[in-house]
Amino acid sequence: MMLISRFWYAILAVALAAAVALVYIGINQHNRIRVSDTRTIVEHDRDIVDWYLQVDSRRRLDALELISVDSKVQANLNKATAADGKVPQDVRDATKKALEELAPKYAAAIHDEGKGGTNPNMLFVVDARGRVVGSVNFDRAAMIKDESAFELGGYPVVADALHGWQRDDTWVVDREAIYRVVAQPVVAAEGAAPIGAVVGFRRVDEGYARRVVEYTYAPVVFFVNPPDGDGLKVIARGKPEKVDLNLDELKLDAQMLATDEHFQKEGVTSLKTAGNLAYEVSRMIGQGWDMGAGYAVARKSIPINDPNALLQQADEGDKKAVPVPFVGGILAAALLVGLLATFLEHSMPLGKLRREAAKLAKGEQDAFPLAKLSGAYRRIGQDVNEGFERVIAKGGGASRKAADLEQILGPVPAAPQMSAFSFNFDSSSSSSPSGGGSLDSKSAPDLFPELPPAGAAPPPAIATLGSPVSSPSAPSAFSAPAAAPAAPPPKPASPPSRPQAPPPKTPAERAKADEEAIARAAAMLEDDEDATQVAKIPEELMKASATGEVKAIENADELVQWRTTFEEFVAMRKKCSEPTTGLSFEKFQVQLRRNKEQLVKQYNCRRVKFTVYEKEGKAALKATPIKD
Amino acid sequence: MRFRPLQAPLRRRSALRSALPLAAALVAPAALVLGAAHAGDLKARVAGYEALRPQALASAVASNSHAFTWRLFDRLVAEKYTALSADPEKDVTVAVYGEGPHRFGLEARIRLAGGRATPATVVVPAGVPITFVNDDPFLHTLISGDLKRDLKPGETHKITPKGKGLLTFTDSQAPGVKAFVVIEDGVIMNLAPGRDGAVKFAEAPAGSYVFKAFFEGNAKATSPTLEVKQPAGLEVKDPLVVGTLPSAAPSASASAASK
Repeated sequence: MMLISRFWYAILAVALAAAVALVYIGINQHNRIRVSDTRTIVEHDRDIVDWYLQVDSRRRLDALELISVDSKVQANLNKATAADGKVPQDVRDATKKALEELAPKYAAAIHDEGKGGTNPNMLFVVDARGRVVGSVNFDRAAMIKDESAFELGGYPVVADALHGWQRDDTWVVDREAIYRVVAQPVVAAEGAAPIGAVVGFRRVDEGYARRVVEYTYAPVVFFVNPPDGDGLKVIARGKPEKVDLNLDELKLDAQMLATDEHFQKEGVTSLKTAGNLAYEVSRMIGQGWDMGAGYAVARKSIPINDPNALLQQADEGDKKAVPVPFVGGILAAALLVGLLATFLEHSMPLGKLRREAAKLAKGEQDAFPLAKLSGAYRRIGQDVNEGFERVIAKGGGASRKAADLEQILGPVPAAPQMSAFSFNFDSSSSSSPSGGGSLDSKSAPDLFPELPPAGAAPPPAIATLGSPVSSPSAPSAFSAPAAAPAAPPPKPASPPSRPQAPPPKTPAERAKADEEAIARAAAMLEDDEDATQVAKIPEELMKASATGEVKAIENADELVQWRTTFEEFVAMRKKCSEPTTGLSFEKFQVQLRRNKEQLVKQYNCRRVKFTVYEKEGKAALKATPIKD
Repeated sequence: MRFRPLQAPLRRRSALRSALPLAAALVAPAALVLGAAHAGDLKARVAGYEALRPQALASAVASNSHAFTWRLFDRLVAEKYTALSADPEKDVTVAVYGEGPHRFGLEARIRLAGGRATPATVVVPAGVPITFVNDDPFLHTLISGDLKRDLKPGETHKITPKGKGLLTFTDSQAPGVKAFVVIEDGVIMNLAPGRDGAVKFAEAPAGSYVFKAFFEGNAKATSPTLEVKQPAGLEVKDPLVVGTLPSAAPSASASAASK
């Protein structure tokens, strides 16, 4: 049956399916958590960049103090504000000179000295009328046609500073540049009106993006998306060196921003994806809020779509994290259990079969010993044995099947009449063509319908046993229950299945009749697989049977065995819920003796072994001739 | 303090200056014959501009405008100076109505500089062209009705208004830029107040004049008819009040905020 092996295969199949299911559950869980985590990270990045921009503005504002309190700057501002028309050239020159001295200090104060000797911080001094008195590092200075007419006072951030406010702002210039602007009033005396303002510009370029990345560790992209422009333009971007992502994949889309309600209302998009990136976009606070200044922060986010991607995305560290001993232990244990199961249920029984087959081949045995085989191999052995029998039978040999007592005795009524067995040896009840049956079967025909009726061929008296019912004069001890001495005669109405020979009159006739009956019985045994198996009938046995010699039970041991057999038979009937009323050992042994005599005569054996077994839910007996 | 006529182009003034001797030579004999009055200064003053707040500045400091992250009050500055208000030199225009030809010359000019339009308002009679000049080192985009024009640094744009009315010009590049053009009959010139609000029509010919003070395209104050007689001219005692300060100004320190 290989139950363990099949159960193990089922376990392995379930485990495999569970493992695959777990992998998919894990992938989905990973993706869900990753999306959530990525959103959190990106939102944090966005907040951090926003905070950095605020802190950066504040730092620049505070650093403007270096300029606003400078005495030279204040003196020049006083002169400039007092001048109608244009600012005198000497005032502008002096202011510019002062700024050139202060600019490096300002850059150092905010840790933004720039690279290559270029100070990226533009500084302006504006008088109370909004006119620019002096400037340094202004990247658009070449575009000013008349420096004396250059003004900044109309911008809200500067106008605020001229009214005593420190303020920051973000400008979008020419639809392609972003300037971070801070302005601070210049106050010459406490309680007086500001005499001017100092203004600082910082263009958002690659250097500024690097600074943002350096302080925030967030990949960031600054862009301009002017509402009246040609579309979104990325102006600067940067990412930490150790962060593995390609910002080229971040294709910011003006249309997407225009249709994003949250962005239009709050200035911040929800989490977006582009390629392997997850990102969010935010407007920059200041005048640029409405003019398209913004930034995006991005993080790499690669969902795992299938188990194959799970392996592809694993790096060496991931692979090293596999608990190899644990996994190897599972593998070894599963392998051992499987091998053990197949060894116990396959290899071992097969080996037994192989060994028994070898013995069979060598002639050490005539058939497979079924008791040594198990499972399917027992069935195979049984089939092979039956095959042998068929071959033997076809070849004219004697069957070696065990004799079935029922086949010998005929059917036994389920409810014995009176108190005795009603083993019907009546020819009228044994006419079934099946020829099979059991002791407990009412309808089962007698296997030996042609055996002489009890009255015609009474078995020898068993005087040694003292059976009260063993009387050669009785029609049949089994057909005439003790409780009913006048046993009913065999039913004449039952049509015999085969023509009945007239009862023999002389011993010679009886012997001849017996010989013919035994021969017919043997022939029937050959035709019926379920019939009692008996050894091949030797010729001398046939001769002996012809003489009509019957041996009596010679020793009490056999009687003891029969007693045991009787008890087993009664127990089996009870087990099969068959009635046992009227069963007695005396009657039982008479029947056994009679059948033994018949078999001994038939097979020329010394004794017969009776075995109780269950057949189709009923108790039955098998008789096996034993030669030795 | 020097007062000058608004928007008289330098080149035009140079041209006029060169033509004045000739004109004087032609007109003087006629004046003597006709008894024309000698010129005198016509002076006036604009008051209350501190109460005016330009729209651009007002919207830029609104708390919900996302205009800034830091806006901190400097405690060294007296509170009375902290309220954003109109700049009389740039945001207030005094239009002079009178008899005779206008004095705009060939055009009136509006400078786009420093994040605003200067002057913010011009009042001209019909037929006087308006020229916008970008004096900033930044791009400006002039928008009004169907007009949308990018002005690179140094570029100009000229319009000639038809009919009467008010034209408003904005700038998509600089929200602080707002220009207003008022087309009215009888306007002969514009005056820009000084920082103290004083205006002067220098050498005004004898005649009747009316001053109107404009802020963001709207007349905020109108003077009575001013009769200038020779030779002394006229100084208007009552100021042109363009705005009234609220009785209690909000505390500047209270509005110090950071977003």
